Amino acid sequence: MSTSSVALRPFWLTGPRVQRYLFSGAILAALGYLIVYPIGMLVYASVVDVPPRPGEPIGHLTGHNFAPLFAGGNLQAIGNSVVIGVAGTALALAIGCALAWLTARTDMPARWLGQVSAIVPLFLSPFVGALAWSFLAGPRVGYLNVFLQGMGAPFGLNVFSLGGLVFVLGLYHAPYAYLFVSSALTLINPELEEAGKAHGATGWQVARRITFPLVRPALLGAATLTLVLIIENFPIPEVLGTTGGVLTVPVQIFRLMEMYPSNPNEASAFGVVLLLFLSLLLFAQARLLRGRDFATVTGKGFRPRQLKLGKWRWVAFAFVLLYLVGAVLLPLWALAMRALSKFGYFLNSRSFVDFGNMTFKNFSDTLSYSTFTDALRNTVFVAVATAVFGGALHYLIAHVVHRTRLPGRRVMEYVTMAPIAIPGVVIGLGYLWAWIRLPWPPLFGSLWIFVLAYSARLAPFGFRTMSATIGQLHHELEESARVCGAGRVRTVRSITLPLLRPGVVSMLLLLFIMSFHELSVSIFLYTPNTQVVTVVLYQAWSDGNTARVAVISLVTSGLLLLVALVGRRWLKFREA
Amino acid sequence: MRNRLRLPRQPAPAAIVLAAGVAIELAGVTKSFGGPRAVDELSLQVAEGELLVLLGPSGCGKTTSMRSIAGLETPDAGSIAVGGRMVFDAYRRIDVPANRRNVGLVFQSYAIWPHLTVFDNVAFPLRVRHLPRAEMKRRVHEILALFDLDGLADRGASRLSGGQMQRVALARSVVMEPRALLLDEPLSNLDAKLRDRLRIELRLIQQQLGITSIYVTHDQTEALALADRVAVMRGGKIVQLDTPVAVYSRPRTRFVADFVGDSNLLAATVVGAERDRVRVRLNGTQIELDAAGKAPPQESTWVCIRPEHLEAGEGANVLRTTVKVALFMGDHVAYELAAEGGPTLRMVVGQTYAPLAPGSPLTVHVAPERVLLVVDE
Ligand SMILES: Nc1ncnc2c1ncn2[C@@H]1O[C@H](COP(=O)(O)OP(=O)(O)OP(=O)(O)O)[C@@H](O)[C@H]1O
Ligand SMILES: [Mg+2]
Repeated sequence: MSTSSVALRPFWLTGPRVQRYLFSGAILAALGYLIVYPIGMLVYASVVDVPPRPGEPIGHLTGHNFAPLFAGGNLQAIGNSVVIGVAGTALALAIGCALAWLTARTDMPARWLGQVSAIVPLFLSPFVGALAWSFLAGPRVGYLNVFLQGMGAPFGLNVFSLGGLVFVLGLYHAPYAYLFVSSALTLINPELEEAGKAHGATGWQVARRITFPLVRPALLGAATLTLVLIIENFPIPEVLGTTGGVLTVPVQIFRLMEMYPSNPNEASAFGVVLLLFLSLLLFAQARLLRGRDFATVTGKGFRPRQLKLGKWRWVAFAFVLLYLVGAVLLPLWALAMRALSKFGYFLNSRSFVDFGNMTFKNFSDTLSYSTFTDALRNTVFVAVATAVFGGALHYLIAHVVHRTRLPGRRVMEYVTMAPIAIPGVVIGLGYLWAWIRLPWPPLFGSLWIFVLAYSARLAPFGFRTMSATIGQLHHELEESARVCGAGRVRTVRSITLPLLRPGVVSMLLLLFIMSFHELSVSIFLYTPNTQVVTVVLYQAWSDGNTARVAVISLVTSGLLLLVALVGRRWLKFREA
Repeated sequence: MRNRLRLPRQPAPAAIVLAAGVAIELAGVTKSFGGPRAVDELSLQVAEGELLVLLGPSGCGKTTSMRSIAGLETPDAGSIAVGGRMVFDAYRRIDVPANRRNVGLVFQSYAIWPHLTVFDNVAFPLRVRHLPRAEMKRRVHEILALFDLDGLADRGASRLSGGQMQRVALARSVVMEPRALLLDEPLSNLDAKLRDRLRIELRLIQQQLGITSIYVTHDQTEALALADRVAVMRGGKIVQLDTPVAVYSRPRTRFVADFVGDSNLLAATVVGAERDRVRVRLNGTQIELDAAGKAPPQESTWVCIRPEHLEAGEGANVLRTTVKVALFMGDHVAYELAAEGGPTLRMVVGQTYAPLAPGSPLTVHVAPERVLLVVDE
């Protein structure tokens, strides 16, 4: 570009400035479309007196929708959510931290098994876990109860209870705590701990005065995130709590929409309240942690010091095994039992090995059930599209935020991270209001609405994973391509993406898997022609068709475990 | 932002017409990252084929200046021309993107792409310029040979030693025949021996290819050894721009005297001046010294005496001292001397006699031409 060619161009196209604003504007518009507009519609629905459905009038402003939230069943749901959130978080943290510490810092036997056990439940999805546990520990006929009765135990298990909910929620959220704490533990420079030793501290004093304070920020982060995830969780309380009469806030929001006559404005108001509460929680955590993120100050590649457990090694190993059994093996066994059973119930412990009772008919029935096979095809499409398009958007935003000085990049970061505080049911409801009314684009009733909603819901995860990956790439590697004469696109293609490939592939796989699991959003957005697997599973469950539930759960879990197995070379887990 | 607004909204005058033989020209380049200015109205001209060293303490804005020339930072004000072409002008809104400036930049981290071989790393600039294959191969092999890398062409770049990476980085910057070569502390990650060898190699190649270069370092010996001219930077500004000899022997400010070379710096007051001679008294003492040259503009000044310019024995500017410490350094002896009723002085003496014992009296003198008066800036 020489001086004269600049002068010849019209003023408003001079230089890259206009392009920068156009580019930023396009990304911000996409984010507005994906996140801000649906949430805005939800807020709108919460303060007017008619539902924002097609054909309804605009309505009047009102605060009445918020009044009934703090009374009756709604108030009870709030109480349940708080109790379950706190207790479930405590359990998840206890399991997750123990697993992290045992695998990272001790000489426990088969530590790889600890790592695997802590990750595999993520592929099983909390929904499937809850369904399996409803087979295992339903009152009287639950498979475990059958065994207990056979042994003459004077008590039985009941997973359809507050305690059961806490147990299953804790079980399936422990991996998140594990990921947070184990990355913090492996990033601590062991010399910090050795220095403590050298200055005369005992092993216990080192743990208490050095290690613990160093991982405390990570611990607090893990606690907040787990709490948020548990409170917003919809499938587990829906499956276990509905039967037992223990409703939580997300379930109650869904109920308000499902009951007849439905109460969409109140549901929206409840969604807004939940959203505000979770935002407050995350805000408080961010304030607490500000400038204290020192657990990750050092690089990586340390050979951490290992505590000798002595004879406790086997206790530790038994603990890992117990978790693996409870979170993965028992549920899979229960699903298999139910899927293979002719009658669907077992009289005593011997009937579990009675092959005369077994059949493959359930499999053939479900696999030829066209609603399921259509839904499976839809889900694969949606999951792939979310991984590709959503992933591309998440990558683009992470790139813009971390590698450019484009205007508005801070706003992009905030908006992208916002869905972490937005419960799935709230996104579902927001998307419902956002698109049900508009004749164009005809998103409602198409599979693309799932792609958009999933991309929004998974945006914080995708953005954070990509940011971490990009952060590991020294910016000079890209800049040197620029000074060597490569344009921006060429630089990304030849340098950035090849170097980031492991991280990018890992993120795509995880986006695919998470999309496969999605229920809380999908339950609001499906139509008879656009169903996804989780919705079909949900319907099978609410119809009481346990055989179909078992087969669908097994097939999808098997599929995802296969994907994970094939992709394990690339799969890298980071705290979300 | 505030900084930008205060600058005059007019073209930087010096850069409109480029003087013949000027390869790089910066005029009033200013950059701030929101705080104080990292680069503060920097103006600079580098002649064709010249190697200019930017020397300054950490954080003085050397890297930011380099990155601005390469197009990786956008200055808030000023203009930059490279090879007779305006590549940046804040006023006229010219900002040629980095990939079209054809300026080579060797990063401190080398930024060797680990997923490519040595050959592919060096070939990259030619590939993006769509050079014909044969021509590209020939040029790359030529450059690899020049940098003694021929044996490593197919080696993955992640399996190179520090010195080899440094050479690959350099080869990659040179292969595209850049209009200017910028080197940001290219040797600082290497051990001392390797650094010495590569420094000589680098200078040879630079002279052989005749590439206009700016070399950033905070190592003053490196600066003096390599440079055609040295620009000493501080707080985003150039405080002195001169040949290495001039910067060393005639530092303009106390900062330059202190930063470049070792020196005894003493606060002093002018007590008398003749035509080509100034008499100063060291503050807080009765010691008076003669210095050659013109009187400084202010009465209070700083005296700079290089340790090697103090000589034992009687002469002009005699000082009576006592030996505090004597360090035998092999090829020389370093003394710390307590001057009578006055300051501590450092003196370096070639190894002519055995070191004196601490406490011995020692009379030293310094020629008036060696007493440098510098301003306090
Ligand atoms: N991207 C940035 N954001 C904010 N401040 C920056 C950035 N880059 C540089 N600075 C600041 O600008 C000033 C000059 O930095 P620069 O890197 O140019 O120094 P330098 O002379 O290269 O130092 P060193 O010898 O340590 O490499 C410093 O105060 C630095 O903190
Ligand atoms: Mg620097």
